[in-house]
Amino acid sequence: MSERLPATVRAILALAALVVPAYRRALWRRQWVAELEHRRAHPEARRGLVGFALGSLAHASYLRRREMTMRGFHADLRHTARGLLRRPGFSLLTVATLAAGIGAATAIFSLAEALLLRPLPLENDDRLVRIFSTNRQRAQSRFSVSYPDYVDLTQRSGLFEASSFYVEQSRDVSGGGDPERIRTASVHEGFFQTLGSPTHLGRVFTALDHDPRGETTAVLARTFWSGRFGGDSTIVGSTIRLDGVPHTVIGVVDDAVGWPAGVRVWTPLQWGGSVPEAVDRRTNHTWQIVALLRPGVDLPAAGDRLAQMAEAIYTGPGIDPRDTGTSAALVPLHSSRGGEGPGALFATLGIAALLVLLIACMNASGLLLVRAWARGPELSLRAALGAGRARLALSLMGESVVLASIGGALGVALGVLGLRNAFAQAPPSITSLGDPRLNLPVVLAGVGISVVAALLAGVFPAMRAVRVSVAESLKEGAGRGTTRPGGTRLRQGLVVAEIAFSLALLAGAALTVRGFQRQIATDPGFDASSLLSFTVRLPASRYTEDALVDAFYADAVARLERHPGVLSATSTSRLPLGAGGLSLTRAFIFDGATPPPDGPEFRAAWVEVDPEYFETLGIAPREGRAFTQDDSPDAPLVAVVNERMARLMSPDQPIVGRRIRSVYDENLPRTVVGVVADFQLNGVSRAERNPLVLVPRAQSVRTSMAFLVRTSGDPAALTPVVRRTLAELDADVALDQLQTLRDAHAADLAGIRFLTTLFAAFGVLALVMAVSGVYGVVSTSVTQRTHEIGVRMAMGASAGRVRRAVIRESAALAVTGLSAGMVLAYAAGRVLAVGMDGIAIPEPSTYLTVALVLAVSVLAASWFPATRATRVDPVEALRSE
Amino acid sequence: MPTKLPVGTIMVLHALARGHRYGFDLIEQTGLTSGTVYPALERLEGLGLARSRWEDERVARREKRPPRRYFEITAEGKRALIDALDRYRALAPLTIDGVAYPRGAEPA
Repeated sequence: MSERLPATVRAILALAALVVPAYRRALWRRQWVAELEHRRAHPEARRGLVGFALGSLAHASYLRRREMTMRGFHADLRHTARGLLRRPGFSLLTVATLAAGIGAATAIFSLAEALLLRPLPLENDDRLVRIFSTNRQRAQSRFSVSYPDYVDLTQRSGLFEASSFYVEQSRDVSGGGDPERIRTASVHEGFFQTLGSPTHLGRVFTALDHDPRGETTAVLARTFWSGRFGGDSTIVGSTIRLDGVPHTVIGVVDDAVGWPAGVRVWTPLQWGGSVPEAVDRRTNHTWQIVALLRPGVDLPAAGDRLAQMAEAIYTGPGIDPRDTGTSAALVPLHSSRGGEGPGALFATLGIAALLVLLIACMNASGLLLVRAWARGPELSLRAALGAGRARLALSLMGESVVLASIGGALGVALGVLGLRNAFAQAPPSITSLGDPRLNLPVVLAGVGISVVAALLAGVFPAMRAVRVSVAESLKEGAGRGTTRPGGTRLRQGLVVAEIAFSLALLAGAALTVRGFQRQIATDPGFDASSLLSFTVRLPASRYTEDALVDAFYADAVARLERHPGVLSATSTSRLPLGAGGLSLTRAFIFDGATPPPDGPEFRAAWVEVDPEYFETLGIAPREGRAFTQDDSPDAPLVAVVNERMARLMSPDQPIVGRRIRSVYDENLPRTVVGVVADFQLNGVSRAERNPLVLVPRAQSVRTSMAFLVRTSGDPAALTPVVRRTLAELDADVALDQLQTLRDAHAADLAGIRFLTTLFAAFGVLALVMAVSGVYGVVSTSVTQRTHEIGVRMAMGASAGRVRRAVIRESAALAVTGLSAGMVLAYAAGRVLAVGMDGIAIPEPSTYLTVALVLAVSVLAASWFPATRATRVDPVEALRSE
Repeated sequence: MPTKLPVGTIMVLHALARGHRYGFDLIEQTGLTSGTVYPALERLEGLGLARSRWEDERVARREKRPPRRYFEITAEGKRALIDALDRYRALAPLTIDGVAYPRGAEPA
């Protein structure tokens, strides 16, 4: 009859029936079918049929619970607990193993929770999204959006209730203390209204503030206000200067939201009704967008719709060929706070943590199998006395559940505490992303992970118990006969898998560590010690003429060099080793060559430097000359390239003397006057040495520059001198990022160091577990074979022969595991190489080293049981029969 | 009354006492969910406060439906119900925020 019931209802019944104790199942089913048929016959009740059917689950679990209580499941649990306490070694080892696995997995989850999942404290957090441009052809995910795209995607799509955008920039703030370089953002109309962040004091921007004829206003972030202005409640109405331009403070907003991270002062874009011409171009990808989805709009569907719209735009007419392949992506605001980075990082760490968990479960499973074997006589006896197979399986499952619960509680606590501890030492680039906490979602995830671990670890032993054959095990001297008990094969399989996964994890960790070491050890191409660096930005309001700007830099360099501790000083638009400054990449062609898209273009970093640059960095030109004071604004335009660029553009003939131009911007011919050796301009994230074009600073004036100071002694000792010297020159110019180049580089490395350390910790955990797994298997095997070994020795087998036999067993496991692991490890390496710089895929030496370490550890782990085997006293072994 | 019954179970017992006999009917009468009523019936039967029997196959076939499981209250169930109702009755009358319970009664 049930055929006539809807499929959902039948599925619920089938599921519930699994829970109902077998002896009641048929009648239970009959009762429910009758009730459901009856209810279906009532027209007004038909709608609630599924809800009604859900009651069958409650009914079924009630019956199951009662069944368990009646049959003494609780007594069983007590028995389990007592049994575990009687074997503290086994219990502790299993708990520790499971705690390690669960801890690793929970730690990574809590990291993901803090960075991606935790809602922002905003009323409409579930509807707030960010829109990014993407371009698969250029492998660019998530970059800023152009204004025309913004209009098309937000206003013409009809998906959003509100939207706005902003752009961040660094500005010098003065007023209320020393000048200071801070993050600021210029926002379009409706930004705070869209975001819904609470106003703490005064008001936020209205249409009047965006009017170009109105006064310039600013809104402060609450933390900045309380830090710099001491929480002065009369701040509203007072004036602060941003890059020398006065702004009237109109309000303070709560920045507890934490997004956009680090913005201290907000100013309005003053476009009025019209949009500046330079902004209204599709190629001008400038804006960070925030938008509020209309209620009820489905996020994935909205994302698909936006991607379609963007793709339609970029396959349409009038699109710059370089922009083909551009699309759009929609990301929940709360999961976008970490920027682009965390995605790859989590994929890597997440996989590593899951592997650790898997290895831990297999290890625990192996231990439990041994335990199931040890409990064999007891289980057989209980089976003989009438305990059901399910009951015996549950009894063993119970052990894994109890162990996983304790291990889970420990693991969750240790994992999160450990991560918080690691976070405390992590660099700001990591810690600013979030704050991992032991909160409800993390605890729930920990519980979930523990349940999975309990099932994974307990399922094989439970299956073993189900196969207990009463007659056979009683007959065979309670399972301790000369033949090997069942389950050995299974345990060996587990250890092989464990070794394989450990190898993959270790190889991944080793590759990461090697990549990291390589990056640290890389010779930057110049002497990076005894260099001090900082950046400045001259207020555009006062430094209105190029001559003034030029004079400031020249004067600053001259004054710095006058100090006895300074060997030389220079200004540059961009510091080496990714330590700061302006990162510009430009496309070059030879003057007179066919411009792109028909002719080739060559991309290179663009760096403006003083003549002193070469001396300060310690790089002499390989060909031609460096810059001199004669390369003035009025002199012919010149450039120096690095060897990489020279090889790239002109592989066959000398590049010195030829003329190049940057096609899309400056577009003026510059004569290449020299070639320098390659050195490391970028930080760790893009450590390879890119093509480079250097131009004289005097021939390309800008108000923000960086400085490099080569000192004779400890560079850090010179920071007060540098501050004083610059303050004498202009007291209103803020120094930013004043640090030694070494420190800047170390800070840059710290992020990757954090990742590497975590990864290495996982690798070590995996190694320890693989070794203990092998030890467990071999050791048990020796115990089980005591009799057999005794017989062999009685027949004259030597100690060496016995030892070799035992070690041969583990060697077979190791070889099988390592072979399988190599395949996994190679795959892991491929995955890692995509996500991280400095990792080369074919690195056989690393793989071989790791395999060797694992093999030696595994063999060492079997040495002790093997030695024990040689001490078997044949007389004792045979007497115990 | 040795066992303390949850209020939902008492409501089911009450409905049984009024002559309602099977799950669907009891749900209609008590307004409880199916997930409450069926376990409650099992509990009552387990405590001996109710008993169940299967409907005669022939009756079911005549009415072209599957046979039902019918419940009825036992003598012990009636005693338990009266005890329970006494205990609940002890809670009334009462005045809460100026409203008399049972409704319509004079404020105490």
